[in-house]
Amino acid sequence: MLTEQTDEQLLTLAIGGDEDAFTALYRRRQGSVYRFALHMSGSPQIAEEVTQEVFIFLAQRGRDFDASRAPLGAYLFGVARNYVRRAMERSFSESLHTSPAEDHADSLVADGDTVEDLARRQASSAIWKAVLTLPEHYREVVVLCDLQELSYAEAASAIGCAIGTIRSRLHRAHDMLAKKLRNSSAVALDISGLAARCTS
Amino acid sequence: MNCNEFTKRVEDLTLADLSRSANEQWLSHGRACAACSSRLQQKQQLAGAMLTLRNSTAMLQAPIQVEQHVLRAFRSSARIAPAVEFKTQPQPFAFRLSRFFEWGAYVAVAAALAISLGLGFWLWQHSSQTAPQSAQAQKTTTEQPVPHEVAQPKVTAQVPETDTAKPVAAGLKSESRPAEKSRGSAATTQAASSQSLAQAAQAQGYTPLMLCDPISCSGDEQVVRMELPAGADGSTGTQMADVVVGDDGLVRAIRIVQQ
Repeated sequence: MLTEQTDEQLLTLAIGGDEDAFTALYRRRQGSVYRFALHMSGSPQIAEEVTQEVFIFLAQRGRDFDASRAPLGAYLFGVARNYVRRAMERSFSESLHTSPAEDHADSLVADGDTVEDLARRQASSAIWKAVLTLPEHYREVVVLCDLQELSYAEAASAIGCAIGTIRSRLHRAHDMLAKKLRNSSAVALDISGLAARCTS
Repeated sequence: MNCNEFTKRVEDLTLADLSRSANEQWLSHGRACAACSSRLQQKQQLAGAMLTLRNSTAMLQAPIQVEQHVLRAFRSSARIAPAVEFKTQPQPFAFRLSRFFEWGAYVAVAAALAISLGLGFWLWQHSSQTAPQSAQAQKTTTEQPVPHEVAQPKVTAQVPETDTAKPVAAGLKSESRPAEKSRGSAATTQAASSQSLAQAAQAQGYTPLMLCDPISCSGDEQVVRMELPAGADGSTGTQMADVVVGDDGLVRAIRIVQQ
C-alpha cells in the first residue's frame, strides 16, 4: 500500500513518526542518491556517507521541505550535492596520498564474461573517468541530466539556478566530454560502436 | 528545418531525450547538412556513451548498513520530537509577562479613549457656553479702530509709521476662530473664513490677492511698505504700497498708499 503513495505523501507520514513510510521512501530513493554521489565523487565511501547523511537530514529536517518549490527527488539531489561537496573538500587532502577517485571507476562498472562485456566495461570506465575530470559545476549537470535523467527544470531546482544556466553548462560540458573522448581514440571507437548498438 | 532550428532543437534536448525523440524531420535535415549531421552524430555518440555508463551503474545501491544507520537515526529523532513538544507546553515566565503587558496595553488604550472622550465633551460644553460671548466681543472689536501697537505685531524695517492697518490675514484668523468652533463642518468654516478675509481686507483698503484658506494661511503675517516700480499703476512717479506678506512668502493683500 505504501508503494502506491507519492514521495511527498510518504514524507508526510514519516514526519508523523511512521517508520514504515520512511523505510519505503528510503528504499525508493536511496539508489538514485547513492549513484548521484558515486558519479560525482567516484568514491563508494563518499557515496555511502552522503546517502546516509542525506536521509538522516530528511529524518530530522523533513519538515523544512516545501513541495511547492520542487519535487522531493530534486530536493534530495540538492541536499546530496551539498554533502558531496563537503565530503570531497574533506577528502581532498587525503586523496593526495591515496589513489585518485577515477581509479574506482574500473571496479564499479558491472562485470561480464564476454568480450563485448569487457569492451563495454572499458568504455564505461573511460567515460566515467572523463566525467570525473570535468569541473564540478559541469560535472553535476551531466550527472543530473544525462545519468540521472532529470529534466532541465528538475536539475535547475536541485542546483538552485536558472534553466538557461543548466542548458548552457550542459552544452559546454558535452563539448568538453566529446573533446576528452576524442583524444583517446581507442575509447572513442569503443563508444561509437556501443553507441551504434545502443541507439539501434 | 534550417541549421539554426536544428541546433536549437538539439540543445533543448537532454542526451536521453535525444535518442528518444529523433524524428524524420530531424534525420532528413541531418542527412542533407554535413555540419549538422556531424553534430548530431557526436551528440548521439555521447548519448550512447552515457547510456552505457548509466546501464552499467544502474544496479549500484547503498549497502544495507547505511539503511540500518538511517533507520536508527530516524527512530532516535522520532523519540526526541515528542519530548521537544512536551518541553514547549509549560509557558515560560517571559511569555506570561508578555501576556500581562498585552492586557496592560488594552487597558491603557481604553483609559486613553475614555479620557479623550470626557475631555472632548467638556470642551464642547465649554465652547458652546462661551461662543455667544466671544461673538459679541469680536463684533465690537471689528467696529472700533485697531490700536497702533496691535496693528503692527511683526513689522519689518519698512513698515510705515502711520500705518493703522491690521494685518488682514491675522485679523481674519482671529475672526474665523469663533466661526470654526461654532460650526461643525470644516468646509463651511473654510468658505466662511475666505469670505470674511475678503470683507476685512476691503474694509481696511486692502485688495486681497488670494483667497486664503485657514490651513495654508494659518501662520504669521507681516505688513511691508514697498516702493512700486515706476509705471506699475500707469503713472509716471514712484508709488508706495503696503503689502501683507504671509510666512510662506506669498502676498495676501495689497494697498496703495496715497502720498
